[in-house]
This record gives sequence, structure tokens and C-alpha cells, in this order.
Amino acid sequence: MAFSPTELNNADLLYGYLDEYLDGELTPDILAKMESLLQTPEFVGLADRFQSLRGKLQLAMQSYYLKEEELAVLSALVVPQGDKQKAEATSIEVLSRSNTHSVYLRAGVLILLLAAISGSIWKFGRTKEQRFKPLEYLGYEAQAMDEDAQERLNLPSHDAKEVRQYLETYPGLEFKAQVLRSVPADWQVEGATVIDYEVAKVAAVLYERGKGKSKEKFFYFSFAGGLSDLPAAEAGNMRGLIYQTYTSNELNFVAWQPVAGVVAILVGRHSAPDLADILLTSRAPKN
Amino acid sequence: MATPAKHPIDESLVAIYEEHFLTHADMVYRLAFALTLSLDGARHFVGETYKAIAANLPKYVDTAEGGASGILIETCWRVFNEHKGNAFSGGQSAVAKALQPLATSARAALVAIDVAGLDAASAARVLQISDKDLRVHLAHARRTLLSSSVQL
Repeated sequence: MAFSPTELNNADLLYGYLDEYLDGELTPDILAKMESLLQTPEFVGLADRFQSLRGKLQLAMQSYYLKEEELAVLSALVVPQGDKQKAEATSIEVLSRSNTHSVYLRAGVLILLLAAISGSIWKFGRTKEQRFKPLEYLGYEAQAMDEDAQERLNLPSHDAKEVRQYLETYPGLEFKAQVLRSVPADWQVEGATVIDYEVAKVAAVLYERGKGKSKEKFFYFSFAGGLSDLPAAEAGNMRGLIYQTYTSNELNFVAWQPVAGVVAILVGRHSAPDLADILLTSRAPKN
Repeated sequence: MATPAKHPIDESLVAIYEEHFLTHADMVYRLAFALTLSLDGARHFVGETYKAIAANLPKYVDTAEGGASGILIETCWRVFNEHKGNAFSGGQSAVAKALQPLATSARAALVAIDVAGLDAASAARVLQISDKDLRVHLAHARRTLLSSSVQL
């Protein structure tokens, strides 16, 4: 027999369906029940508090990730059959010659050992760079800013010049942080911040338009790197602007290279072509 | 992490493993941490989860694309319940403190839905509990976290 939400007590129904309520996925009967419960004094503001909690939980969980060497161990759990046969053949060959070539074998082992140590040094030296996952990190950052922008912005400001100056003079930024030159008339800058992920610094600028529930936002991130640092994606071309697009459940990402050595990503709920159009309209420097 | 046992397999299965399963390794790590509240425990159960996946890859050929995160959560939850007698030193992070008052089934429901993004029906299926129990666990977890004094 199918489960009916009405079998739950009011509190379990309310807390148990909060995510679908926020995401607009409830059937009309449950929605009506939720809205009625959310108006009772006991639960006023609950949806907003849950939305904030969910964002914080997701961000806190982001600090748990596997290191490159741990991922390598998981990757090594499977090996293609061909590789295994090759390895076995090599091993048999080595064994058959081991009596007459023991000196060479020892030298070979020594060389392999040295190569492995060199390889480890090279690998661990690169680990820092490899840990920065722009799409994943910036997707979460955009969601967190979407929920509580004022909490996340170091410089809340509607003054584009002030925002530009803030980023240009930010100490320790090893790249030219990007600010859109002139956003379409109905959009305005809301402020900026620099996010320090330890392995990379990211400049972030927030733009908004509209008011209240119809408020829309997009985020403009920039950081040191190249488009080749991002996962491969089919390139888009809008009136000469070459860009790559990505998508998550709720957000679209348009990535491009405004200047050599800098990646810029526009993130928002708009379609990728709309985001690319904002980029073009904003007369950002072209690549 | 435990030394892995290797499974020599067809190259197309290696591709499925790498493209669909390995890409969710951080998510499994987060679930395993929520269950054990321990970094050592999380590493242990991530290793056990992926060993189980690697050993059964042919089973997932048709479902890995689009269903890998559910399969991983189901497998991690199963291996955790099979070996939950293992003791690990607990973490002291805010996340560990916030989740500590919750039963493991409530933590699993919370992470599956609010962190990994599964829908409720999929979460109930992979955690092998009824839809009603899933909602009750989820409600309990959210209520506890919202009333917690721990700042995430």
C-alpha cells in the first residue's frame, strides 16, 4: 500500500518535506498543508532557517574530500585485463632470467625505486593544484551567496568603480581579477569578495536585478588558470565570444578566458546562451 | 586506506568505474564520515565501498549512468551496517559535533537528500527503508540540527 504523507504527524511532515517545499516540488495538497503549518507561530521562518542550514551543511561537507593519493588507491582497484596479462608476461620473463641476470635485476630495481621516489615528489608537488575543483567549489559558493549574499561579501557595494578598485588592490592576488565593464541597464553590482581556498584564490562579484521574490542574481568568478584546467566541454561561440558551458541541477556555468592565465566563470540560473549574452552586452574584454 | 585488491576487468568496465563511480568518491567520503564521525572510519568505508563496487562492476553496466550516486550510497550504507562494530576515533569538527546526537539512519537520510541530492524515493530505496521511515528520519535530523547550538 502506498505511503500517504498524511500518516505523518504535523512536525514530521513539515520537516520531512522542507526540501521539496523550497524546490517547488510538492503536490498541491501537501503544499497547502505545508503552507498552513508554516504560518503557525511555532514554525514561522522555518523554511528560511532550513534553507540556510542546508547551505551551511553542504559547505561544511565540502571540506571533506579525498586526497589525490587516496583517489589513486581507489582507481587502482580495477585494472584492465590487457595490463594484467602484460604485467604477468613481464614478470615471467624477469623470473626466467633472474639466475643469470641478478646483478642487472638489482640495478633495475634500484632505478625503478629512484623513479618511483622522483614520481612521488613530482606527484605530491602537483597535488595542491589538482585539488582545486572550480565547478564544484564555485557552484556551492554561488548557492551560498544566493542564500545569504551579505554574509559572504567582503565588500557590499553598488559602486562598480569601488568594486574594481577593491579587486585590483587586493593583496596577494596573482592574477588580474575580472569585473564586467558595464552590465545591462537593469542589473547592478551588489559587491565583491575574494575567496581563499588555500590552493587557489578566487575573485567573486555579485550582480542582481529585480526586487523581493523576483530578484535574480548572477555571479562572476575569476581565478588564475586556463580553460584546459576545466573538464572538457563543447565550445560555444556567440558573436566571437568562445566559451565552455557546464550545468548542475540548478545553475549554469559559462567559462571563458578573458586574458591569458585567467579563467572567468559566469554562474546563474539563466540559460547558458543568456549568460553568454550578458557577457557580451557587458562589453567585457574579449579573448 | 586499506591496500586494495585488484580486479582485472574489461576496459569498458574500467571506463564505467572511472567515469561514473570514481567521480563521486568525495560524496561517498562525506557519507562515510557522517556515519562514522571519523576520518579514519570514512577512509575505511570508502575503501570497502569501492572494493564492493569494483568486484561487481558488470552488474552496474546498465544503471551506472545516472544511477551511480544511488548505487554508491546503497553500497556504502550496506558495508557500514555489515561492519559497524569497527571502532574508530571520533572527530572533533563542527560537522561531527552537529551530527553526533543523530542515529546513523538519520544521518544517512540527511546526507543522501540534503548533501548528495537524491530524491526521497531513491533515498528510501537505497537505504532500504520505507518512505515513511525516511521522512521520519529526515525530519528528526533536520529538527535536531536546526535546534543545535553547534555552528556549522
